[in-house]
This record gives sequence, C-alpha cells and structure tokens, in this order.
Amino acid sequence: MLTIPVVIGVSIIVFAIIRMIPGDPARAMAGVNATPEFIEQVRVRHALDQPLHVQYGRFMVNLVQGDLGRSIFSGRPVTTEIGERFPRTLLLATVALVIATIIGVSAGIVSATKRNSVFDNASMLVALVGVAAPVFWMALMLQLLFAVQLRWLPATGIGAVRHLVLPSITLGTASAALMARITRSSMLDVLRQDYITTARSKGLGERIVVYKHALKNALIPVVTVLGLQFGILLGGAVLTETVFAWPGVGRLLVDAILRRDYPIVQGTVMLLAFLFVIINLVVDIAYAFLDPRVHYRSESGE
Amino acid sequence: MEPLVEIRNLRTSFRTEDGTVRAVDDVSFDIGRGEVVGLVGESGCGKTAVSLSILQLLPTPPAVIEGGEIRFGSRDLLKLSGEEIRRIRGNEIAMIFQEPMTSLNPVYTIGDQLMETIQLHQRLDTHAARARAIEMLKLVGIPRADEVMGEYPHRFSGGMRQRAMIAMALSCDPKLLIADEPTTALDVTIQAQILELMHELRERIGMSILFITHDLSVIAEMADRVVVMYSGKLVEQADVQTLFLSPEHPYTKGLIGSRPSIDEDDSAVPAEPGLRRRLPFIRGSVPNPLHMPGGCPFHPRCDYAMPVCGTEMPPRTELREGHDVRCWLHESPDSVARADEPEVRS
Repeated sequence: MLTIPVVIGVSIIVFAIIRMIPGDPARAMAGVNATPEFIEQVRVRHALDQPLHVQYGRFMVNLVQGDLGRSIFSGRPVTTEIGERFPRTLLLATVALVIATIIGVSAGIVSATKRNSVFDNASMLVALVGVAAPVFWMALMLQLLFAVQLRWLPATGIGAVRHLVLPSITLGTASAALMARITRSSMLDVLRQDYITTARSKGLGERIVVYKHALKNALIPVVTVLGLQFGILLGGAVLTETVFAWPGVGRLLVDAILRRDYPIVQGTVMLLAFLFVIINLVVDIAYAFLDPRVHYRSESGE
Repeated sequence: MEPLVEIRNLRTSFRTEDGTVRAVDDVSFDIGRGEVVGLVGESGCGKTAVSLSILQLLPTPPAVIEGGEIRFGSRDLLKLSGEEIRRIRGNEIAMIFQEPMTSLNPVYTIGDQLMETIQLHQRLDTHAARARAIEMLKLVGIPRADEVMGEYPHRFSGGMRQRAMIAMALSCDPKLLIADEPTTALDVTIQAQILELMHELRERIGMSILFITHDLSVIAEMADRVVVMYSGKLVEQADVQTLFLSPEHPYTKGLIGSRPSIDEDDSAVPAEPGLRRRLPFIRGSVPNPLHMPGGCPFHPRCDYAMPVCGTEMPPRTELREGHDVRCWLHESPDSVARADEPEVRS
C-alpha cells in the first residue's frame, strides 16, 4: 500500500519543481504595465510571499479537504477547471487504449502463432516504427493525409465521434506497438511451456490451446503494460491535445506551465499521479483474477 | 494376437541451423495389448522423439517425421489428418510427462483441466464429467478429491501433480499410455509410490504402457519388454528378464554393468588394494548428433569394435523369438570377416 507515500512524494516534487522555473507568477498575472505595488498586492493575495514550507503546508491542508485552490490566471477553482477538461482527456485516453489493446494484442497473438511469417515480420516492423515515430510527427502526417488530402476527417477540434478518430489513433499508436511486441514475446514464451504440450496431448484443437491455455498465461505481463500505458496516455496526451486542439487536461497543463499558474499545475499533476497509483492498484487486483498464484501469495503474508 | 501398436522404420529429424539431426533413425518395435514396453537410453538418444512422434506432438518445424509407419489398429497414425489425430490424443492414446511441476496449466483448476479432456472425448454433461473427474482423482489416490477439483496446481506437491496428470491421462480409458520419464523429477519415495500406482492401474485398466526412462531399476520394476536406443537407433530389444540376464549388445551390457550395486560380488571390477571398488562405466561419450560417426554409432566407444563397425550399420538380427539386436558381433560369421577377438575390458 504505497499509495499515500507516492502521492505525498509527488506533491513535494511538483511543488518544488514548479517554483524552480524562472518567472514570477505575480508579475505575469498583474500584466506588463502593472505598478510594483499592484504586483505586490497580487503576490500577497495568492500567498506567494510566504516561505515555501508554509505555502506547501497550506496546499496540503487544502488538498486533503478537496480544495486545490484557485487558478491564478482565471481565478476559478482548480477543481472546476480540471473537472471541465478531465472527462475529455479521459475519453481520448480510453478510446486510444481500447484501440491500442485490440490492435496490439491481436497482432501479437497472430505474430506469435505464425512466427516468422510475412504477417509476423510486417507487423513487427510496423510496431517498431510505431514505437519510434514521434507523436507530433505522426499527428501532422495523419492530419495531412486524412484531413487535408482526403478530407475524410476533421483536423482539429472536438464534438462528434469523427473528431476522436485521428487524436486517439495518434495517441494509441505507440501503445499498440508496445503491446503487440509484449504480447508476441509473452505468447512465444508461453507456447514453449510444458503445459501447452500437455494441452495438445489431450487432443485439444489449436484454437483452444492458443486462446484458452496460452492466452490467459500470456496476458499476465500484458496487463502490467496495459495499466502503465493508461497512466502514460492520460499524462501523455499533452502533445496530441496540443496538435489536435483538444481542450483536455494536457493542454490545460501546458498553458498553466507557460503562465506560471502554480495551482493549476499542482492540481493537474497531483491528479495524474493519483490516477497512476489507482490504475496500478487496479492492475494488481486484475492479477489475482488472471493468476491464482498471486492471490495465495498475499494470503500467506508475503 | 496382433500388437496394439506397430512402429515400423520410424525416422524423425530436426532441421536446425547447423544441419539436420536425425533423432530417430529407422526404429521399429511393437507394443502388445496390455504390455508394458520400456524404452531406455541415455539423454538425447531419441526416446522422447519416438514418444512424441507417435502422437505427432513434436513442433514442426523444426521436427520432421521423414518416414515410417505407426500402425494403431487399422490406421497409420502418421497418415491421419490433424482432426483425426486429435481425436486419438488424450482419448485412445494418452501421455504423461517428466515435469509434473510445469505440465499442468497454472491458471486453471485441476477440475477444469480434468473435465476438459473428459468433455472433449466423451459425450457427458458437466455434471457427469465432474463425477468422472472426481472418480479419477480418487482412483489415483488423491485425498479430498471433491475439494481438490477447485484448486490450482501450485497448491500441489510434485507427486500430487503427477497423480493428477495420471488421472487426466486415464480419464478416457486410453488403450495406450505413453509415460515419458514420469518419475525422474520426483523424490525417491514419491517415485516408488507413483510406480506402484501405475502398476496397480495397469492391472485394473489393462492398458498398454510405453514407459520411457533412463533408469534401469525402474525398467526392471515396470516393464515386460525392453527396447534399448542409442543415438537415435534401436540397438537391442528383448523381454525384461533376457535383457537383464543376457544382454547381447555391447551398449546394453555396458548400461547394465554400470549400475551401482549393494551386493559386492555383482558385476564389479576388482578393487585395487586400499581403494574403493570403482563403478564400471562406458568410456567416451554420446556422439554429437550433427557429426554422427559412420556405421554403428556406438563403435567409437565399443570394446569389440571391428573394421566393419565403422563403415556400415549392422542389420537387425533376431537371436531368438522376441530378442533382436543390431550388432556385427551377432551377424553370421561368414557374412562378416570377423576381427580377432579383442581383449575384454569390463
């Protein structure tokens, strides 16, 4: 149960790092032509004149009460700002993850069962490119092809399902590629196990051997990656959201960093860290369903 | 009576990057109904390749069954389609393996894995299949069979897992059980229990067993007839008594001679004064399968080797009913110019 120490650790790091970035939020907020007095007023109003540990203490006390403070820039509560944008990011990340899982896991299974076939080599090459290609480049290429040339899909914005297609593919590509590779190697490893020979010796068809006996074992490492990927997708939507003008927390975070909007940055990063921890907890629980040995290990007190 | 299985001129190879390895080279033997045939030889001699060839469980590639025939009833197993051989696997011919710790799927319960076989081959509903599975677990001496059904393999010891494997293998009343070193990975006491169980079940069910092992004491205990393999070739076969009392192939003699014995006088080399008795052994080691010596593969290690041994593989000679050997020493003297009788080292 590392949840609480991890969240506290993240809070300290975020708090410290954002304050190391050069730039004065009070000056940024007050505007270019503000008088020194006005800047000072702004500073006091947002408690930016207090020593760091006092600021951190106040931040944590408020955090525990569910209060992340107010945006220095817009003056609205951070929870409202995040609450507005988070569902969009969640939607994007979830769709990307679902696409990535379906494509990645199926490609991995087929590659493993038809090892060294044309499909295997082709899909592993695509996977390599998928992992290696920079997200912004992928995004621009997809926009160029599907929005500008073919005019099938909108290049930017939100609204209909059509708007979701390109960003989720962009976001999910690297994950799909990673999952294909993990599934393939895990599956190849499992297919070499003695219990697979046992399953075949019982007279089971190849389909049942692969999809029942091998897959459940092969999925154990895939689930770990899946959990990590979801966390990464939620946080990693920054670039995708920027290129596709998708108003989620990723863009909120980037904008907030540029404006030295400390409360928004802190709130967003805290949320992402917290989600990451929760997702990993869910992954651990999912393990117990996939692998009976996990359940009993914790029962015996390890 | 016609034998249950007739293996004729079986040849199985592995195509590796370094060349072709002939794992099974022209092997022929029968398994009679209700008979226990022991298949012995050193590691890598092709015993497992024979057993996996019968059910075509070798991964292809790299394995290729290049020729021969495996007659089972009216069928040639090597000519069956994938679907036809699957109907035989686990049903008419079942198999148990060396490593009970890894032979059961860790993510399914013992019950699932047992019932799967039963429901695959027999038209039983879930309820009846479950009853049959429990009956099988009881048969192999697993206590609390009812509860065990819902447990996962990792809760079991090696001996218990092997019992569960046996229960699974026997659940469809196979005519032939192929047991590939089923006791090698187990403790000696557990090994004895499993052997006793197999003995008992064989009496009760009346199936044939192909028992593969490198352990001669296990063979002595289990087998009716013994087939000895060396480097992919069958070198001698005889009933168990003949083989132990009057082995004819130099390799078989070496194998039997190199068993440790508690009885001081038995087949021992006279000890040098002050030294402990040394265990006799076969000099040299198994040839590299990629660079097989010409002729009889055993000739570089054989104390009786003659010039012809290095150039030609001896044919099969039937010494008496049921006892044959492939060795130039047993070819008729006129067909081979016999070399001078070599001095006997034991």
